[in-house]
Amino acid sequence: MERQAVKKAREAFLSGRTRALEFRLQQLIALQKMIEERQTEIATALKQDINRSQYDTPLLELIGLENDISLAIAKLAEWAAPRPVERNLLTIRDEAYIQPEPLGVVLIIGAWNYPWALTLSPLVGAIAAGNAAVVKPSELSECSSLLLRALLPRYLDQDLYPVVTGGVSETQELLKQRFDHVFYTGSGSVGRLVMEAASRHLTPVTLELGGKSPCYIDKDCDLRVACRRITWGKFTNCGQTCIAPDYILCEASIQGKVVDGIRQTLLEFYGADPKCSADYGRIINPRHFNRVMNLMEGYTAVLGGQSDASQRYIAPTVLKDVPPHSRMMQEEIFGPVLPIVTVSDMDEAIRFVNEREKPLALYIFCSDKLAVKKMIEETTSGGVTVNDVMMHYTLSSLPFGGVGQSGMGSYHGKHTFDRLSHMRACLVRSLGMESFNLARYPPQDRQRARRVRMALRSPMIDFSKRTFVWAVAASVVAFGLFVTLLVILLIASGLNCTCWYWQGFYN
Amino acid sequence: MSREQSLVQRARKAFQTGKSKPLEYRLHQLRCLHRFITERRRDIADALKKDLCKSDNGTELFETMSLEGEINLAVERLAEWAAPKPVEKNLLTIADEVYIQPEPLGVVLIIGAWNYPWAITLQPLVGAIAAGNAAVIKPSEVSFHSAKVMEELLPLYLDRDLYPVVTGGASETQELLKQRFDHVFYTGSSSVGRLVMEAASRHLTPVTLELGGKSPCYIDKDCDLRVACRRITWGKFVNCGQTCIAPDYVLCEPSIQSRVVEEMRKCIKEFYTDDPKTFEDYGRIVNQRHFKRVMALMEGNTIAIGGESDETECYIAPTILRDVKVESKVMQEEIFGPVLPIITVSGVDEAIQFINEREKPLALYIFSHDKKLIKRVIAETSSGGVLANDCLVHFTISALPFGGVGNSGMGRYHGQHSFNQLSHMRSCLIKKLNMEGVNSMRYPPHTSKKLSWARFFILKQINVGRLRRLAMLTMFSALAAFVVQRFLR
Repeated sequence: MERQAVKKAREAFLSGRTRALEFRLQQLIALQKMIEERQTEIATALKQDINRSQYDTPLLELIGLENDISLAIAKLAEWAAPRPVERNLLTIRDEAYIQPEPLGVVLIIGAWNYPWALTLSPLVGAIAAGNAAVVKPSELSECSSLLLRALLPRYLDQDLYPVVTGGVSETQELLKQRFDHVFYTGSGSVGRLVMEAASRHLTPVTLELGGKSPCYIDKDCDLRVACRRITWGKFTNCGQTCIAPDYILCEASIQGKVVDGIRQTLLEFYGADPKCSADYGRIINPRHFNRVMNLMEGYTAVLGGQSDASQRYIAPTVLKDVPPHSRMMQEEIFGPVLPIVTVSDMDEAIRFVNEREKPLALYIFCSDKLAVKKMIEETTSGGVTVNDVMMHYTLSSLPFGGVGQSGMGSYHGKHTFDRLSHMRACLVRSLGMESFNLARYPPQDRQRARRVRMALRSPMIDFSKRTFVWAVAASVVAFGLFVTLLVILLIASGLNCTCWYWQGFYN
Repeated sequence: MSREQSLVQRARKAFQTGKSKPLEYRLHQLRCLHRFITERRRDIADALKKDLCKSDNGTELFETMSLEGEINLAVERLAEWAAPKPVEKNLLTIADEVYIQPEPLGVVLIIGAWNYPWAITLQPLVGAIAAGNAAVIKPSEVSFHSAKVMEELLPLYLDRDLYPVVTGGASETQELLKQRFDHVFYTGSSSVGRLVMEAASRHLTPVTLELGGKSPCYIDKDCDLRVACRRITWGKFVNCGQTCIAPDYVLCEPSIQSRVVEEMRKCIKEFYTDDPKTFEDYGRIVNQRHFKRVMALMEGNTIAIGGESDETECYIAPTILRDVKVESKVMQEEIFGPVLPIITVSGVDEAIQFINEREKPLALYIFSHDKKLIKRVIAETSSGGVLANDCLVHFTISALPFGGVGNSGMGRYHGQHSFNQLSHMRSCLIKKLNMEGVNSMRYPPHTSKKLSWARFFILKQINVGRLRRLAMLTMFSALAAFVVQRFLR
């Protein structure tokens, strides 16, 4: 079944209908319609999957998606247009440009924590870039995946964008097929298998993985606001967010205040009993529930700690004085458990972060600009947000992705389009001017070589955008100065007509 | 611990000291690399003569010149490339600092090829150094003399811990591939490319693969055949056909096939004299194995020009085959030798179909006066790069990303593209701890009112650039009004 879907998608792609921008726009508009019209059904499916509140669904998934689609529709013509490049003297009379082209058939493997955003956002880029796409939503978010399979063919071209549901064996079967790009969101262990499968066909991959995103709180900062933002980021979607702050690093002297700040905020957000709050989620399934519960074993929670296996409910939990090498610090938590590890200062925090794998996100809460710049410079991560959490995800102009174990490749906005396109280098010369080429033909000699060297240099007039902008700016300023000069001359010559004009105005 | 393991560990330790981070250090290393090429020209040329029978001028033209160009460009533009790049903001982030910061990846493995051992191994190194990485350089053992010279001399110019050279064969390469790198840059064949990517997948290491394929060359019947054949002949027989972007085979209509052959015969004579074997600028096949491979490919085809060979010298004359059948061996694999098959097609439609039935090539060449036809072929095919009315020169424009697609490779380099490919583009958002009121719309308990505010803030498209221009225009007009009012009373 999987093989059939891929074959049909490839045939549909080879028919050439995705090449026209109008077709791609039409598909994007249809996808937009689907999200607008089916909001309630999507929210219901998410409630069943992960107990997502009806407001969190648009807030965390759908608004961002709508934004992505609107951006793609508005900018598609610009993104898909040929991009002229700087030439050298040899090619100065030629057309040199980069032409974005579709890759072919893209495989998109979604995740279960934000099943709609993480599956459809890459799809937006795939459609915009003119590819066909086989969409494989995660089987763990079962209701969402079945709903997607029912809805997508009703809005989008069924052959070009098939939805394939299923578990591990269906995914393995899919990965045996040949694609032109595989876009995977999920865990590092499966990411390795995806890349290995892709290597057999020399298929490029984008892997959006995870890791333990550290959150450093400086002792001299507004702890109240910091704790508020961290609490929001950590316990949204019950901690099941790839860029959730995984653990906190702070000095021992402020640990108590941090706990208090979080305690206050939790009360404000979810009330005295988060289990009864409509806005507090649940763990996706018993397996992950047990996994997170096991991580907590042996610790005394300073906040929360309660759980209810029948509902897969884990209370918002904070642990203090967690040892750096404990089990809790070995794997990504992906749950509503927030350990605090104490460090002596920012330098130790930097060392701590650097001793571990590169995380998907790094958070720094600090009012000192210089200290912030230092921490950013001395560490690395997929992305970094200072004085807040997760917000770098919301700007489509920022490339979202990991580095090292947290992933490879990036997307969002134009970056998705570029990632899922082939940037083809094009040089169109003419058959004339052959005399310029003589220097390169054998028999070779030093003089000819010198001529070729000259030709390969950049032209004296730099056609890059920067110079063009300067030229325009200089012209505008010059014109302005000229006008000013004219006005001053007119005044200086004391022309009556000027005064007369103004007299008339005031009368 | 194996030699390879300890070298990689040393490189990583050297990287972690942070010494490659400052731009001055990277510029210093790049200038040392440039000095290496200019001071050791003789050694490089001698090594290439022994490896590939490359003439001195050929060496300069095809290896060192482009390398020097890349280094000069990197030195000139490094500050610009490495600077943080501000990006467009939205309403929510209008008061924040938002930018993309290029960062080094760590330790890069560069596996070079034997056909242009210096250009292909050192050009990625320029990008690696510019991006602030450490790099383990593994030149190809097939170009044995060049590898030796690189191993002996490069450490005299570059930091020997950060940029070690590892020589050896298949087993040394396999040992290297077991180590963990932050990026692997491989140039070579597709079959080994698969193994490289598979090895990299174990460590989740991103790869750049510059592979090959059969680069088609379509000659339209209405074009200046004399010039076209000249350029194709040059592109094909440079380095004895051992160029990844050499025109692999020609597609043309039967009516012009004979003329094409004649024009090429004239060019071969002009370039390489009647006896290319004795001519300095004509190269040799790199070794016996490849010599036998290319000779076997010629079997069963009509030789229109050339065909002579000399196994003792690994010499194959510039050879052109005509009326080649699609099923013949020469059309099954990349030739990588001085043998140019001509396949006849009925027109551009059949040529496009022919190209699309095969794997995406690294380069596509189209010779025609008709701009519309050229644009059509470009639109209806795909390839790493495409060049109309010439061969190979798209390689020289560093602003054009050089790389393959599909079986011809993934990733790209040259100029700034090398820098970007070997950097991590880190997204940075710097907010402040004030203005907390704005955030309240995202906090629980959720209400529909909060949601509508959130929708407004996120979905409102803000063109900060336009706002800024508008503000400046307003200020300028106010100033002008003030000046006019003040001085014209």
